[in-house]
Formats: sequence, structure tokens, C-alpha cells
Amino acid sequence: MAGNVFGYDIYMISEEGFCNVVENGKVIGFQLLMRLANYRGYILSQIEDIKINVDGLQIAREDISLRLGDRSYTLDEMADVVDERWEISQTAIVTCLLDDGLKPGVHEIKAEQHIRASYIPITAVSSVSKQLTLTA
Amino acid sequence: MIILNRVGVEKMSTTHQIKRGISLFSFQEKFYRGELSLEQCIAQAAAFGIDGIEMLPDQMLPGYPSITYNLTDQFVGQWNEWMLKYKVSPISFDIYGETKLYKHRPLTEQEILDQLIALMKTGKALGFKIIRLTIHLSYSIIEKCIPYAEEMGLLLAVECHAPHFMNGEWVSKNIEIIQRTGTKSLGIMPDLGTFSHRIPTVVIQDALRHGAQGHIIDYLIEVYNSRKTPKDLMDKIARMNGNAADMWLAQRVLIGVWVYHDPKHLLDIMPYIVHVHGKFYEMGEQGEELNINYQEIIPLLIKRGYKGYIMSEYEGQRLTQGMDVGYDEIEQVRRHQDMLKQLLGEKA
Repeated sequence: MAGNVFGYDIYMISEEGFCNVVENGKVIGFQLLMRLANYRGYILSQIEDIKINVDGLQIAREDISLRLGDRSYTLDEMADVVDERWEISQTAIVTCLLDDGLKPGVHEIKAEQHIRASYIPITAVSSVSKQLTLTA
Repeated sequence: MIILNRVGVEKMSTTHQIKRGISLFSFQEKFYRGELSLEQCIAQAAAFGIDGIEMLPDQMLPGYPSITYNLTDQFVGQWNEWMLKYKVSPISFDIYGETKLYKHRPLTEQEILDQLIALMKTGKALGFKIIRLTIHLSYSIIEKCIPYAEEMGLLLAVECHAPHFMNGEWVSKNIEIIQRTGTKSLGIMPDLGTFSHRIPTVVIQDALRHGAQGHIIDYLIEVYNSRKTPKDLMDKIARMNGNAADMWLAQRVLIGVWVYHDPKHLLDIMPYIVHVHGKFYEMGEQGEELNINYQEIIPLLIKRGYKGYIMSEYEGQRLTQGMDVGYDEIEQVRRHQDMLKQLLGEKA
């Protein structure tokens, strides 16, 4: 049984900033803006997992990266980052690799954050589902 | 003899030395939403006529990217200016210390101690007097922090928060450390959420909104009120055809996110109480906490001569997010402060 005793799930995904990511003229995936669904900030190594599901398609863990300010990490890289925090006031950019990205229009996004808090015995899992509109 | 709960009785405040304060934790959702900056949280607390504040550095202190908050001289200067401007003192600095920094190995005792010392220095630099320690720290580490606290002139306060009780092992073992070492730099910080006489009203309403079923909520309320949670609670709820919302409520009852024990247990440990978290979930329109009996608790603290702060610590916002419930964090703190004033015999 997993759940989030901390609230803030509803704030996890922003309505804005949902778009395809273009690199060297080619669409390599999509991105969304994410807040920490918690009442306090965490060290990046304590963010055990971020899961993104779009229209029923689960994005593979290795295809997800998180950008905070000018630094970007894959989820595996984050596991060793102990000198950087994700503050509750910071918005991160989550990039999901997906060939050709997503079509313009409405998409059903499900997102999860798994946080290994030091002071509670379970991994806190927050989750939210939202319909986001991707503009061309 | 103290006459309790009589509004307007003059000089009542001279019969005890309890001070009201506010934890900025109470304004966390407004801070999160960018509606209140750190300075505005301090200003809002000060506006309620209190002179002591509390905060969680993990929540509101800027300091990215360092885990020890990497405070700049500029920030410390700014902080000190705020304290003067708003006429408040920093009282308690609620740290954690990350024992689960790595997935694949626990931290060594020395690594945790080093973190805690760095955090204590941060609290000291900002003028805080008390450092809050929580249950995930070992007794051995707590004892090892004592000489550093003594040297820095800080008071360590171990928080007794649900699911732990004032008469439980967590408190008694810490009192043993205080007695054995003779230190004056370690004390107990009760969280009044350990006296939740019912599953908080906002929790039940939240469960209902998420689809929890009436017959299961009734059963869980009965279990909670019996103060005896069956070990196989989850199986029982599954057999009652519990859905996800039912199971999640049951899980929280089982792990003791809220607990109740008789407030009289505060009396036994009173000499060791150095700070109180006035936890609350919902202040009703009549000005009383719907889930925690402050009318019973505050007189006990007065009667046994507790000297220290009771900090308003609102935690209902996480259960009412995105809803129009007719009040906000500021209004909830206002009602809580008004209740404390009345119970402490101050003029309203």
C-alpha cells in the first residue's frame, strides 16, 4: 500500500510548459513542468523514482530526465546526487524521450513521485492525473 | 490556585510563564503557491502579536544546492533585519538530518552526526535557541549531539509525535539520557497531535471525497475510538470490500498518523518539556479545535508550571488543498491563537 501523507499532489504537474522537445531539428520527446509534491524540499538522491504515463503509455525510467536550473540528471544519476536539493519553490523540467514526440491536442498524463524520506518507514508516493494540452 | 478559561480576568498571564508562538509551517501552502514569501510568513506571524517563531529549514530556507543550506552572509544579514523589523525571535529550528541519503547503504553514525552539527550551526547562525530532533535518529546519535549543543548554547528537543506517546519508550529513553548525563541541553517537545481524540475531521472529509465508503469509515472510526487497532486491520478492510481510498485511510490508522492518549501523561514528564508543538487540524467556527481537546491540555501545562512556547502548528491544509472550505491557513492560525489567548487567560 502506497500513498502520500503530505498532500500537494494536485500541484505536481503544471498546466503550462507541456510541449515537444526538438533537438537538431528532430522531435526527440516531450517535456512537462513539475513541482515537488511535498511540504518540504528533498535532496536529489532521495527522489527514488518519477513515473510518467501518457495516454496509457509508460515512459521507461531511463528515458526520463529532470532539469533544475542549469543542471540536468537522469533518474539513475540523481541517486548519487547528495549535494543538490529540489526546493518546494522550484519548478523542474521533466523531459521524456519519445520518438516523434506527441501530437498537438489533449493528452492524459499520470505522474508519480517516490520519495525516500528519512523519518518515515515507507516510501512516500504521490500521484496525480491531469489532462494537458500540447500546442504545436 | 489558577482559575482557568475565564476571558478578561486581568493579570492571569502573570500566573504562568507560557508564551504563544507560531510555526511558519502553518503557512506552508501559501508559501508553496508563492502567495507568501518567507518574509511575508514572518510578517504574518508577527501580526498575530507573538514574539517567537519556529520554522523548518527544509521547507523555507533558501540554500540550494547545499544540503546544509549554504547560508550566505547576505541571507543571514537579511534574516536578522527581518527579526528586528517584525520584533520576533527565532525559537525552534526543526531539522531532520537525512539518514536515508542513499538507497543502497545506511549512513554511518559519523556521517549523520556531521550533518546534524552542520544543521545546528545553521540554526545558531540564524539565532535559533532550540533544535528539534525527530524519531529516526538513534539514542546514540542524540547523546553524541549533546556536547555540541552545550558548546553552541543550543537546546536539543526531541519531538514526541504520533505514533509515539509521552509515556512510551522514545520519551523514556531520552529522559534516561538527560538523567544519566545531567545535561541541560536536551529536553522533550510534545506534539499535541498525539492527543487527537478522533480521526481528524478533515481526514474523514478528504477520504469521502476520494471515494471511501460509509460503512468502512464508520468501522475505522470505531476502531480508532476504541484505542485498540487490530494488527490485521488491512485484511479486515479488504474482506469488507475496501476500495483504494478505504485502504489508504486504514493504512494511516494502522501506522498511527494520528493517535490518542490521555493528556494527563504530560504531567509525568513535565520537568523535561522544553517546547510544545500546538498541532491542529481544524479550528471550527466556534474557535475550538475539533479533534484535539486544548481545553483539557492547556490547563495541565499551566498547573504544572510549564515554561516555554506553545507554537501554533497548522497541518490541515494538506487535506483541503484546492478546495474552498471557507477559511485559509491565516484564518486557521487566527482562530488557534485566539483560543490559546483565551486558555492562557490573556485579554482577547
